Amino acid sequence: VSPRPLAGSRLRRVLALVPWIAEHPGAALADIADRFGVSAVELEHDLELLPLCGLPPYTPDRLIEVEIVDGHVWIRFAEYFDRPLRLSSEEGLALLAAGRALLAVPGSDDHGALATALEKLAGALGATEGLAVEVGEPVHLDALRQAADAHERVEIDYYSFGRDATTTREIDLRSVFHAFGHWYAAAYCRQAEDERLFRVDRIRRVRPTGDHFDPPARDEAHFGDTVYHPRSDDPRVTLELDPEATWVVESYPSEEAEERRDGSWRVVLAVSERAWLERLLLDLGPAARVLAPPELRSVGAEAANRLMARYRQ
Amino acid sequence: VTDRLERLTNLVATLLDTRRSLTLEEIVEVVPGYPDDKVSYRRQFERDKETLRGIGIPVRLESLDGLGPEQGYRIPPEEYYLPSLDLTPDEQAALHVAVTAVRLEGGPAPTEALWKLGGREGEAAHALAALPTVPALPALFDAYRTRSTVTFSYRGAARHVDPWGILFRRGHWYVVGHDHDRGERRSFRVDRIDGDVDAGPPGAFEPPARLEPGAVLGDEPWRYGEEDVVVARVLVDASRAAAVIEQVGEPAVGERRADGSVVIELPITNTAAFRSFVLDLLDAAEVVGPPELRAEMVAWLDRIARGAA
Repeated sequence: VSPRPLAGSRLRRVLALVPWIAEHPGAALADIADRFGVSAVELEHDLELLPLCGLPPYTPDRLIEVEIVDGHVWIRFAEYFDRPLRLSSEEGLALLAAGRALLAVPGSDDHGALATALEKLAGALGATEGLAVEVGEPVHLDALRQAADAHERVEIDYYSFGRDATTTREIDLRSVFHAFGHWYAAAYCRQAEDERLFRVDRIRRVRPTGDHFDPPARDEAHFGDTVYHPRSDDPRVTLELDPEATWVVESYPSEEAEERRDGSWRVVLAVSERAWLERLLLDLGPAARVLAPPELRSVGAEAANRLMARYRQ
Repeated sequence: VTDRLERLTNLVATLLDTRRSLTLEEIVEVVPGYPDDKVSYRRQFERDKETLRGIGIPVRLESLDGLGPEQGYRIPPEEYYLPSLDLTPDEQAALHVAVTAVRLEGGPAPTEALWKLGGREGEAAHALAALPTVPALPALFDAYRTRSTVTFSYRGAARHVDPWGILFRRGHWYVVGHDHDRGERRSFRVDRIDGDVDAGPPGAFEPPARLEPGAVLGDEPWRYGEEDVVVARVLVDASRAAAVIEQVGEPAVGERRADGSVVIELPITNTAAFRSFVLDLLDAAEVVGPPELRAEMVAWLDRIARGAA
């Protein structure tokens, strides 16, 4: 029988709520609800429970005291809950990694509140120097972030890795973000007349156009969607991968991934550009085979032959 | 009937407050809400214990007097309580911004970590970055914090490593440290670790002072390996020359040709990573030396060319 998850997650909240309220006598219920992201009703339930809790033999002097007056609350006699539960490894890692990543973004204040907060946190976790997060600093990152914030239309020279060609485009930046180890600019491309995603390190030049654009209503889900979900009309390729190529499954969003008993994989990936697939197959060599579609089966061999031509001269 | 949350809260309070460990019988006797029947209260307590451990509460089973066979439970306060961080409201707000701007994909939602740090202060931020998580990462982070030597399987071999630090770079997590089997400092890609990470006893080593994981790892994948150093020469066409020089640095340029192409010289210790780097440039690059490395590249391409013929 597995424990009901509900009790666990409510317990976590209670164990964090009690120390905070005890430390802030007379805090307003509305503020507490807001701070802990709970509804007024949920908070009320949590607080109703507490006067029933305490230590054996559960005589009045051994129970937690909760006093609510005019929407303000006091908690007393809960010394054993005067500190919250320590952070789990996962939580400590997530906080520290997020903070270090944000601090590594060009333009962050190395001596600001985030830096001092991380110092305290790392000290408490015993992880002062050994966790480092690098997010990279492509040349045009700052210019692009500023243009995105100011809604300035820019012209870029862009090296398309997929097509192995450089083009010049006018773009309206929607957002600039870091994912899969790279910075991306999501933008409306006026040449393509559509939304496009650009790798910031492949932008060779940024020129202001002097024009401004009207930003569309902010869409929170925007960045995740653009990065993780290939366009539905992209062709799909089915690959068979040897166990040593398992990293492919972890590195690219796959539509299907099936591990076989011998550790090999069958995966379906979206292929936006032929050159991308060429690179993948050249890199994997004998560890990968194209199963379908038939017209993509010889992509690797053709690319290898083309490259070998250089070596025959 | 006692509410389960009430029973769990009382159980935590009792196990935290007790100076000595309590037997199962003592616990069900004093904490309200357990059934009378032995089979039932045992089962109920097992479930409660799993729930507490599941949310990270250290419920320990210890010998009652430190010697005898009789065992009991308690929550050691020094393992339970979060040390006081004395965060200012500005610092709490900065952490709130950080965990909303930077998401660890597949990691825990930041909500509960923030609760422990005093709830949400200030405003959330727009998403700015996403970092991947890999299964072995929390165990390695823990081992690094407690200075425990870890054992794991990597490229088919068992490794014994003192984890000096953990680094995220170019989309991947690395652990750097002292490799007992090789007797040298080494780095490992965490997502290529097979299976579980086993940690030894804490306090087994001390990392070098002022260690920067990034410096241990070095900056180039083709240097992450363990092979003898070979200086590779790569001809890069004019179309990609500027971008490649930006990546490898000006000092690596061995020759500039009239047509705008360049020959770069790279000391490599990882042939596979070097091959990926060259193949990424597709038709715009060619290994020109040394002859063995060039021959190796031709052989690799030849295998692919024939493989699907």
